Amino acid sequence: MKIRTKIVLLSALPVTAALAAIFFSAGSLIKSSDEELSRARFEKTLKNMEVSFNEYFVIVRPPLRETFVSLILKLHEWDQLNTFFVSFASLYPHLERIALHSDGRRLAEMSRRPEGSFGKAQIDPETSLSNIFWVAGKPYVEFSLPADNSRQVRGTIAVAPFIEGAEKLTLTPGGSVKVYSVPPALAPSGAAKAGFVEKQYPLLGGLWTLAVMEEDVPGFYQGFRNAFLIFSVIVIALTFSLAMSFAKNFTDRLDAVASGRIGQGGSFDEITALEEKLSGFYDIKSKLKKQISSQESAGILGHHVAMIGHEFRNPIAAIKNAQYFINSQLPDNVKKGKIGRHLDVIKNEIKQISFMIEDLLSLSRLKPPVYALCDVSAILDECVEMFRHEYKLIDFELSVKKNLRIKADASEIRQVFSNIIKNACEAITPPGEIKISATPEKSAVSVKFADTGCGVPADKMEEIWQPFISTKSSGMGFGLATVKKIVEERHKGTIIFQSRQGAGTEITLILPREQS
Amino acid sequence: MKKRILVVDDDFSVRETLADILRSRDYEVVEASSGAEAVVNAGAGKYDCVIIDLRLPDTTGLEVIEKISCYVPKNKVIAITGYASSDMLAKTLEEAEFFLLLKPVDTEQMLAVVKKIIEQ
Repeated sequence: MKIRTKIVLLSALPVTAALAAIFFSAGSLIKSSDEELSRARFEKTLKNMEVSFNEYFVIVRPPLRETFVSLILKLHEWDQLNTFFVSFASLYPHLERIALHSDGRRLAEMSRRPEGSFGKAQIDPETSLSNIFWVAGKPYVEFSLPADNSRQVRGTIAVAPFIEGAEKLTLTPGGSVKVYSVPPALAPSGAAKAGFVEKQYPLLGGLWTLAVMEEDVPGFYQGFRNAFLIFSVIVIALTFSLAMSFAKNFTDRLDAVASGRIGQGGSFDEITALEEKLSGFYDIKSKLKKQISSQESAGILGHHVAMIGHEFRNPIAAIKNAQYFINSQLPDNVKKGKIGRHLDVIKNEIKQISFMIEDLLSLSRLKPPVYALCDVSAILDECVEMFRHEYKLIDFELSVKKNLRIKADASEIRQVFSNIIKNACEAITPPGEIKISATPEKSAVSVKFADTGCGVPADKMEEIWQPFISTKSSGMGFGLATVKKIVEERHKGTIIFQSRQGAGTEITLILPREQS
Repeated sequence: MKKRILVVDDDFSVRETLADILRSRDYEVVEASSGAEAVVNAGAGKYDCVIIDLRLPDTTGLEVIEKISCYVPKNKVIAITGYASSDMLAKTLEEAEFFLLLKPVDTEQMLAVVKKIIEQ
């Protein structure tokens, strides 16, 4: 997989989580600002009613949300409690249930009726003291109070307008009956005897807890948000661990590549591509190493070859001199006979050997050339003269301007010309023609050799410049390799080679006048 | 009177064959196989030409040429070399104090140079 894809995938996870968190937190902010407002209004109501309260706390048990309010109520505040309920219920339009607790016990519970009002809720007879119910939007409280062990108070308080026609509410405690009247303010206008409180029953004052249960979208929403927060945390942790493992794999592979251990495979396409490229470089490196060592050995070999070549020169010189001497001592009639012809064989073969040795020495030459001003036309004359004598059936046509001077190693240039002419002579099946021309150029001298020989096959055009490659049946194939080395490497010259099989060969040498 | 040539070369075959060729051309030839011998010979007689291999077992040909220059002027010396260092060769070629032939030496060419020197 591509690194970019991995990074995109990895970053998508925390981004999703962050977006979800932001989204839901924003929702919760809106929600909590609503809640703050409601709470403020609620507290104001409590204050107005002079109800003192200890605590106001919210317990969230998704999907249920319960708001607990601890209240200190006195009996004479029952009406206020009901007012409180009304106001409280109006504050929380989404309230589903309201419950009253005392001493950790659930005393009463109201739930919203279909029409929107709260109504009578289930009471646990053992533990409940009161039942608050609403009729047509008006609150009623029904209660039974275990005032002490000896008596049980049962009764109903109508804190809102009575049921039409009712005038009083009777409490039926275990021992005494207490009547609790409706406060005048709450009595319906038509109730003549409103406000008939006979006695204030010493209802257990003290700590009450009002529990408000909400069970709707906010609760679900809260749970949803929590779920998402947990999810986000998991995602971020997962992302982190994935990122760590990603980074480790990544750096491990990079380390491997950096230390040359390549081709081990792995999951990063870019690194694989890099490895493929690098393997090419490693190939080149090892090839270069081989080449360098082979060049070094070639250098050592070249040195030995040069030594051997030099050692051959003296015996050859002696044989040459001997042949010359014998030849010079023979009377003309003997010279023309078999003895003379055999002496010619010796002479020619010695010449061949000399050529080979000079080529070998040139190819293996370690010393730089010795540049001096030399005359190309004079060297050409010398060389042609040498071959004209040997190849009598070949027509040499020389068209050379006089005094074509260049700075060069004369002996090497002589060797180049000799090699080219020798090749041309050997390529011709007599009779044939070799045209040699030399012309001055701007900063060079151009020498052209054209023969009517057999030419070089197209597929051999490249190889003939390599040593040991020859298209002829004899010779070691050093000739053109030597020409190339001397002209191109040692004299910064150019060789233009044209040949057509069966038609002939044309070689043009561009030899610079100066050597820098 | 025959012209005298001193041939200095440590290789017996080369020296002898060259000497015989020169003798066949009617020169009087004295042979020397080392630098020391060459100096002794040069001081002992008069020479019209000296042919010397620059590589000798005991000294260099150049030193011999310097040492015998009081008997034989440098322009009568033919030096033969296959080993000349490029510096020396360049200097020699430019100053042209003596004739320098590079190996392999063409016999005809050498005879031509000898003839030229002796006729000077």
